[in-house]
Amino acid sequence: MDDRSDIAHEGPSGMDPEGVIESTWHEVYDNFDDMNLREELLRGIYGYGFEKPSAIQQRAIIPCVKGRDVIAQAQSGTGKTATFSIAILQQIDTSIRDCQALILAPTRELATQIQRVVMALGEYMKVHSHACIGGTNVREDARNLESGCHVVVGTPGRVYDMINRKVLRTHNIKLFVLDEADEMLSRGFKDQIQDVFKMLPPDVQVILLSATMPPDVLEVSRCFMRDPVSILVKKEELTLEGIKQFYVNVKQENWKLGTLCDLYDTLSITQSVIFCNTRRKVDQLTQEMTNHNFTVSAMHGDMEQRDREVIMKQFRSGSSRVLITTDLLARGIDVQQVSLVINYDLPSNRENYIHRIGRGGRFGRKGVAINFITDEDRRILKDIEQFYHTTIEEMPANIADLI
Amino acid sequence: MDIETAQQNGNADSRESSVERELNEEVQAVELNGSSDSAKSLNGLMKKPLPVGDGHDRIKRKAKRLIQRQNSRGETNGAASAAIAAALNGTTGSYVVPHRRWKNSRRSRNGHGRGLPKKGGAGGKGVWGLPGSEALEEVYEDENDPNYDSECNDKNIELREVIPEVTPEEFFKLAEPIVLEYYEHGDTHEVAVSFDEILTGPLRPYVTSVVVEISMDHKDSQREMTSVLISDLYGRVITAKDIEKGFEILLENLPDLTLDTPDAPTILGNFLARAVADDCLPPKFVTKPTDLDAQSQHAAAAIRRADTLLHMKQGWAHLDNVWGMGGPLRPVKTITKEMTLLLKEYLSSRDIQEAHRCLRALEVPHFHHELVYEAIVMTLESLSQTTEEAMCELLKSLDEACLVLPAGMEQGFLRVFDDMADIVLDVPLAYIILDRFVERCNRAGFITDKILSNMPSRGRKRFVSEGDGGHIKPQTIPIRD
Repeated sequence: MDDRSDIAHEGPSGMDPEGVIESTWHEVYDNFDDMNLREELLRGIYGYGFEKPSAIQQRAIIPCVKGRDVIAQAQSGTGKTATFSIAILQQIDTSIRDCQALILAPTRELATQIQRVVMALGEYMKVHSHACIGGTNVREDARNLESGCHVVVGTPGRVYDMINRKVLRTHNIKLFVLDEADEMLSRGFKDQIQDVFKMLPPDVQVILLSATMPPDVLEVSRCFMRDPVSILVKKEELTLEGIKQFYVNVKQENWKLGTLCDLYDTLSITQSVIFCNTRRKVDQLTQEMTNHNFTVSAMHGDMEQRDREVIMKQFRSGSSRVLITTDLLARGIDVQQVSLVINYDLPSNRENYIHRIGRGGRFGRKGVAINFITDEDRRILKDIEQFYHTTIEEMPANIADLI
Repeated sequence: MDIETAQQNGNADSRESSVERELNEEVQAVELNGSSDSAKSLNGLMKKPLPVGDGHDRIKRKAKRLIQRQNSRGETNGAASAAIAAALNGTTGSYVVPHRRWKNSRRSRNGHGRGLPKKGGAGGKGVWGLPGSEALEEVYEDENDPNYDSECNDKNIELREVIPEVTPEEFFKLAEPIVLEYYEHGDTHEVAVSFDEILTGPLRPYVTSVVVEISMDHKDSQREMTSVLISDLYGRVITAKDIEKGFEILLENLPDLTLDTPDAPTILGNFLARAVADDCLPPKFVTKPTDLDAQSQHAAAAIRRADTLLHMKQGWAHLDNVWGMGGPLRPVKTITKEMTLLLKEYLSSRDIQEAHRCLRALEVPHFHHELVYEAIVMTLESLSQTTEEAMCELLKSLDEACLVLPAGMEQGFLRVFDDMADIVLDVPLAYIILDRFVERCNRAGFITDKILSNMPSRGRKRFVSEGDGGHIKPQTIPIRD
């Protein structure tokens, strides 16, 4: 245990802290200010909460802005969406009210997320963006598109449909982005992508992003792209290295609360996040903790995104020290500076375990995680240990010294 | 409430006159002054409800006005006492205007105005009240007033609580977070409780259609969860009829769904077949569809798919795995088993693409180190050059496709190194093979320095005879008794 954490402090040997980066473009900017971006866009970037560009952003934004075709590979959650959004917003001419950038995404859900990022980053730019959702909103989609949107997002099938209906004009499109290309191809969108591409002006700039680079993605890139810059950041987004993981056997579900109350003094030494599996449980636990006169803040189920951000800001600024939340509510919010995470419920989705307690290399990789387990949970804990090839020990009495 | 505050004021003021008198007067004052709640409830049934904050404001204002009234009363008292004083002194010329007297009084001025206009322009004599106060609610509604709006005060209107009808689109928006959360926690009971809160009768068919539609945006493991959800909600939240109608809605929307999910007909077919196997849907829905001709080609394809699935084998047990065996909710053992299976299949077929596809289908990106581990162990146990070649090729392709990241590769190799002492018990040549395999992989160029530097070297020692202290082992080992 000890020597493992020693290694972790120095970073794993033989590996760049940024991961193994293979790139055909060698300019690296570790600062948004130096990228020569528009003032309004820069305001949007900082307003969104970005401070420093991620590994992929440091390398990929500039070639994208310069009009090169780019293939970028990085794990999801490393800021790929923002990379191409920034490049698009930098190149758009807001005085022309027509579609200038087309983004294809594998699902409607992702398309809406991308559109939100574009909207947030372009907040000070008067950019009109639209995500084609379809379903009952087809008419609304058409009206929105006809009124002139600078950036359009959608699945390949949906976008092609819009072009066919002549509601989406393509002759002004300068940028064509394929986000999560591997996912799109595995969902069977190959022909649709080709169909859309054929409708675009021949000199369109193509940006392709993907978490993995299977041969079919490479084939697509060969078909559509001219002399592309390729940037691969082969880095695991999250790691458990250097995180001390413990479990507390609480025997029964209803003894969890008492254990948590006992631990509260320890929790509030530093900042901590408590994960429950459902929103209902978050509400319950918050109420119970407040009843016991403990100060906690919670990501509430019925909260709007904006309210959640307020809670997060309070938490980040340190004005609240204990945050109760679920996986879904905490998604996409960076709580990685927190050094103590409590799994009040073990995650039933094993992949969520690393999302809860793992952290990226840049945060120094220190931290403690405490799992509350009932007798039935033992097997699940064993599975988690095996899954991540890690050890979770029983919590020692001197836990406060470790935090 | 109003009366209570008034009482408190009165008590504070009891110096000036008897408590009882004050109380009576104040109660009256309240009724005259503010639209007191009692008055409102008497004649103002239909009045627009006031905003909550406003009410508090009004209480404060009233309280202030009350004080003012008291003060004016105080003034009369004061005047009276002044008159008495004057009578006593016999000097009438020293009469002082009441509020002037107040000016020089040493009494505390806290909370008790002197009858002067306030800074804001409110209160006091001869002022028009706080700017904007005219817009506040009328104190008293006069039915004879020509401006009296009979419509808003009509006593024939009866107000009832109405639950607004939720449209299917709104229902989708409400249901989406519930379903997305379900993908994380996997608790169907929780979903049922949440649906109970938002569900009204005519929307029940949409439960099925919404959960299936959302699952189209996700992966097979979420579709598996959706199938489980439908089967668990059956009888609890929705009936067989609702499920049937839900699938009808989906079949109708299929052309649109296919735009966003090209595989939609197949996926829906799987859902149909699974629902039949789970006894949520009568088989005749699939086997004897009522209006096949009226349906789109996509819908027909979906039903054909379901029909085929249901006819494939005698039992329907295979439909439990219609969404595959992967997903992060399955036990680790199952996933490990799937991985060894896909490796074995790869060794016999040498189809790298298929191996990649199977690995993706498992949806466990953080468990890919297990595949590396199993692949190496399999290589060590096989004792054949061709297996080594094949595995090296597979690992190289996984690295190039970024399916296994360097960190995962490292972990896989290091795990094998850790277990070598154990593996060598079954495979005496393991160290030699491992050495050769790592060398091969290194040439292929996907191995990090950390792996090379951690290579166990115990295997070599065995063949260094100097280690035995110069003793040469006898050619034949004497057989022990």
